Amino acid sequence: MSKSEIKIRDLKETDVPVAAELMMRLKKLNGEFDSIFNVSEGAKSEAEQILKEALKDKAKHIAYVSERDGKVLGLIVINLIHRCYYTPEVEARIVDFYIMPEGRRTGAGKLLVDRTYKELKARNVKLITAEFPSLNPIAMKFYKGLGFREIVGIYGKMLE
Amino acid sequence: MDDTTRTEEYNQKAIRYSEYYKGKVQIVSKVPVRHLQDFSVWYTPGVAAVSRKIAENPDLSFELTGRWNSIAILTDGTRVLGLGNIGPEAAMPVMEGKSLIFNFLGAVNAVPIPIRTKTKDEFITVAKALEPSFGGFNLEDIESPKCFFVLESLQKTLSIPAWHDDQLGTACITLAGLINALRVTGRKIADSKIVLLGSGAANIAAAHLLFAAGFKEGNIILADSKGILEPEREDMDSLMLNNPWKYQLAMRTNSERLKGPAELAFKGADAVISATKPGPDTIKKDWIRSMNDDSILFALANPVPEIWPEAAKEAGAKIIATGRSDFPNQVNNSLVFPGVFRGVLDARAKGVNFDIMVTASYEIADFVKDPGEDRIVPTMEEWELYPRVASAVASKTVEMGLARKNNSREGFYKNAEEMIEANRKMYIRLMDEKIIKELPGGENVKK
Repeated sequence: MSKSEIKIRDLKETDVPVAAELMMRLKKLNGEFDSIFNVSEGAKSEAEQILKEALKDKAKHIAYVSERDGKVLGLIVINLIHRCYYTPEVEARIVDFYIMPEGRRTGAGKLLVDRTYKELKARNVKLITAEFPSLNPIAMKFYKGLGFREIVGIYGKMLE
Repeated sequence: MDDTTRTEEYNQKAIRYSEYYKGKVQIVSKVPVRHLQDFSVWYTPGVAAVSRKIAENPDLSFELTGRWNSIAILTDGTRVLGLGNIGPEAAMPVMEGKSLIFNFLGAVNAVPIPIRTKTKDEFITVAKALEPSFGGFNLEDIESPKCFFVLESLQKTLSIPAWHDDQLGTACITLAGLINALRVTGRKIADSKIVLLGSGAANIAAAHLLFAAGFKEGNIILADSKGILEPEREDMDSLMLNNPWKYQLAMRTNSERLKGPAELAFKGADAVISATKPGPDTIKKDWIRSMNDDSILFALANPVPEIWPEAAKEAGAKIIATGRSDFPNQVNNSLVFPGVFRGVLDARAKGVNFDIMVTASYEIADFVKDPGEDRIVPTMEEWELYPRVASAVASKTVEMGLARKNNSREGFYKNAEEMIEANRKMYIRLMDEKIIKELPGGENVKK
């Protein structure tokens, strides 16, 4: 059975429940790497909230999904952040990026990033960053492969 | 005598005999020692000439030393029988028992080597370090998923066969039984829907072996305690990180994308191979009723199958196999590993793979003349089985380009038969001469 083509399109209101599922999977995966990212009880509704917010304020957020045969298999959410002190002043930060197992190794991740680049170019945004747990080697490898490098460190510890 | 009483009796005897014999195997020399001068040949100075030859060509270690017929039984003692992680020292009685079966049925010198290692990488390092002494490795009783990492890594890097019996041995005899069960019920491999219940070492290997035997990937469904394995299951990312073998199978199998609890997979299945929790209520009659007519059930949990064979029959199963010798159709690794190792050793194999295993499974299946509901696999007493499997395996090893030594099928058969026969005679002789001591109090071990 040959697989159909992967399409990238804007996130829509009707995608929110499915997209929130993907975000939950991503957060749980973060927890697999590091227990400091244990998923909270209210996470699902917060994810839906954040996605709705992203749809409302397109000046501050970009979100795309990848789909195959009408089924959403991947999601990317980017926040546009104002940088104090530094130039360039706008930073596009990938905050959520998840592909369902069946959509992996299909180039879907690359397509989502390419679409993001295109949009950022149109908006004249010059800096892109990605946020993920330091202990996630898969993300590290993926972004390094795209030419990203480590630019900031956030260290943490749980207090007794 | 009920099961509990019988088991207790075996337990007591095992302890008493172990105290008496203090181990089950020993090294016995195979060259004559007429007088001490002979050591000048067997040992220094003469032996140096042999060492020099091997130093020039290490493969000669298979011809000039006992390497060709020696294997290591390697374990870290992390999953011994149903006892769990009991450590390498406590694993030794089991490994000695395995060594005994290897030798008795396959004339293989199998050295039990439980090792104290913590990580998979440590285990792999030790195994690689031992390679020059052996013609093969039999891995045993290693916890999952460590066993997959270890086997895959050793198969890739060693130039001798690495076999994990809990995976490959069980998968091989399962396929053999399944081949005959399909024949008896008039089914075709390519059309059969197979459910693998329990996704541990045995069934993960079974899935790969079924692929190699021509079963359609999409027609196979795996399930475990969390339900049917499919790409959208909640724990897929966890599996990707911790058990990539199971993760990959979730992608390849179950083309209808069935989801939910394991029992849903029974509906419309032709065969269920269960290697999961001991029963007798792990599998329900209703689940079997939902299978296709003339269904096939392998309930392989030990010591109690997932459902008693009688109950499975009442629910409509036509062919039932278990891991036990007191029911028909015992799916027993001992029908596989002695012959497989005799075969790979006789071919001085550089490795073993799923194609060779499929050949072994067919040989075992074909060995059964007129298979029927209660006879889909041979029994351990059928001595001709072992040289038959050995010669089939050895010939396939040659065909796959993995052999260091070539021979005809007949040649391999004759060689294996002679070795096993001579070995058996040696046992009889040693027992007759009482060099192998009689059981304490003159008991008969069979009772």
